[in-house]
Amino acid sequence: MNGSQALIESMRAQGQKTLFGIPGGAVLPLYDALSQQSDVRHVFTRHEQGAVHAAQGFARASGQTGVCIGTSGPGATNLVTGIADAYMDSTNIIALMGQVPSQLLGKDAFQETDVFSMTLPLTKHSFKVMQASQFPSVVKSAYRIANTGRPGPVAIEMTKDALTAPVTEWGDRELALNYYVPSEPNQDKIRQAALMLLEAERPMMLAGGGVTIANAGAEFTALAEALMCFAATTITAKGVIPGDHPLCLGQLGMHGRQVTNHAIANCDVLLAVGTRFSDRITGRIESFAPHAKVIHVDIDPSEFNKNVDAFLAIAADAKPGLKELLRHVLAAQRSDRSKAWREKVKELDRQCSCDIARDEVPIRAERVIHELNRHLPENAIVCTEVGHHQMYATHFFKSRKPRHFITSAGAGTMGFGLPAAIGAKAAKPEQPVIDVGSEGSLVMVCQEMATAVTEKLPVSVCNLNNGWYAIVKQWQKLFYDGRYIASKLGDVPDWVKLTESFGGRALRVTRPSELGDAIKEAARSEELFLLDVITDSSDAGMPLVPPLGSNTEMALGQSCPTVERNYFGVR
Amino acid sequence: MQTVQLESRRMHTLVFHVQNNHGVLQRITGIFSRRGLYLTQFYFNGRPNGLTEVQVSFEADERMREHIERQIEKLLDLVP
Repeated sequence: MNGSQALIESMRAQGQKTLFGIPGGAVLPLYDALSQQSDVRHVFTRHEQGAVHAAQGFARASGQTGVCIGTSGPGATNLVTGIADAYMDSTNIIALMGQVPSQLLGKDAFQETDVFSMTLPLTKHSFKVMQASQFPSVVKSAYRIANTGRPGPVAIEMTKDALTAPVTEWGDRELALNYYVPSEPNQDKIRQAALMLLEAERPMMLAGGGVTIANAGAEFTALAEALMCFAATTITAKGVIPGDHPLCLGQLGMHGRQVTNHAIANCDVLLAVGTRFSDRITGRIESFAPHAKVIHVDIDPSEFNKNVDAFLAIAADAKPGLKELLRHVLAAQRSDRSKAWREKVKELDRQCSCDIARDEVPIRAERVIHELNRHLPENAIVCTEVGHHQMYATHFFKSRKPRHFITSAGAGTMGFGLPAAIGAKAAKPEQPVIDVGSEGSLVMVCQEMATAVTEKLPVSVCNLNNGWYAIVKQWQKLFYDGRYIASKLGDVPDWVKLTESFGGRALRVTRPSELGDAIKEAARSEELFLLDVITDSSDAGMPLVPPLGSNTEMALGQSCPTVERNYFGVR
Repeated sequence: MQTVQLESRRMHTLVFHVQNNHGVLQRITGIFSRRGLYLTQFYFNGRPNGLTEVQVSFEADERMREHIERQIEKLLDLVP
């Protein structure tokens, strides 16, 4: 057995059945070993960025580790953006990066780049493997690191000679490292938190990506119901409480809903679970939840008091943390002190639920999301690109299940959606997967259509095509007096022809009435299928918090109500 | 403005042990450089792949010091 075979055997032992990658000189021994086995499937992407985003989509749809491969030098540097993205969104992936033979390290050999060092600030941990016998224990340790505690990416740089040398002695003991050690949530703090929530007059809950990762959506929803407490969700928590649940207020922050931002700004107790309080969520930090005692539950204690001060910090995995809270809440006598607050929030929620079934031509982005809400089956996995369409989807799409809305949140990596959809399809072949995108982001990774076709991973794409980088355009309009530069894309490429040239099917949609049937067809398509939806670029229909502005001082969309400053009567 | 910062900042020294794995030094210094902080003293003493003592001194306010400590506690190379 050589190093490459040991690497594959070690991954197989961890249950890995799928890898995404691209070969090259330094990793050819690994590919040769892959060719001689059938337990592990290799999905051949067309760019390493596609491979890493596919691994992310695979991991986020299934919870299982996503693995990607890039050769030394440019192959590995092309992985780096996705590794950074996975680090921001705490995604459990392992990046296998080729390296020149160890005797050439530091000699500026062909395709030598110090990718090990490049990944250090972007991973939970990076390994440098220079001996074949290291693979079993390094791989075992890498899986443990990627998947325990707060998940995240792990990089393994492998010299070519490590991949080819024989493994004389098999040793797969985990390396002695400072691994995450699970701990039970502190019972005194849990009791205190439950009491605070029960006695609150204006309680709010907030779920972050940690609730998704911990598969704690049911517990989160049950707690909201037990407390009769409204809940906000960040972009990575969409679906942990169903989007159409009466207690779900949905998105908060810069592109959030007015009701959600106002409710958070006026609540007296905020239970925040598995969130790092990103600047896109908090807006100007001084005006974020200024009246609230914050109960912060997170698996990563370094998140406490980083952005928002916690009144009560509970270090725990979201699932046991929420379970314990629920147990205490259910056991307690409750007096329902928040009835008046609930009525006020409910009324504002009603006012902020505008009609998005708009009939204009060109089609409004809201209308596309409205039709997706109506016609996508409940088990459809929605991935998104990055841009305006992503914010529309976050704002208006009603995700009904966790892990069914996959998007580049923290890093905002354009080009994420299509490869992530391909990865999600590899993980969940029985479920329809649709990339809600738009052309500016999509064109950065459109070569991955070849992957979808040749690897028989039929995803659909709903391309909200408006000819602009619409967020850049919006910011240039609002904050730079309409001096547009480098934001107009025009009407190239022809997305129907492009898709067809890759061997997929495509349909151009120009009228709102055509959307329903087109989306139904996309959801049941068994080949790559793209809807080129010609949409309006003229303005934003959503409220927007200006950068570093306060969440309650939003620039309003056309149909947004004006919320009185003292609507909740809180001083 | 600068005076206020200087008043709230003071010098801190952290002493801890790590395993001298590849990249550990970069990981430690990266915690500081990423946040725009300067190291004022650095001591690193150990054997390849063996137990290594680290001392770092830096100027920061209390909040940042606590944040830095939490980051160091997360190092996989840390020997607690």
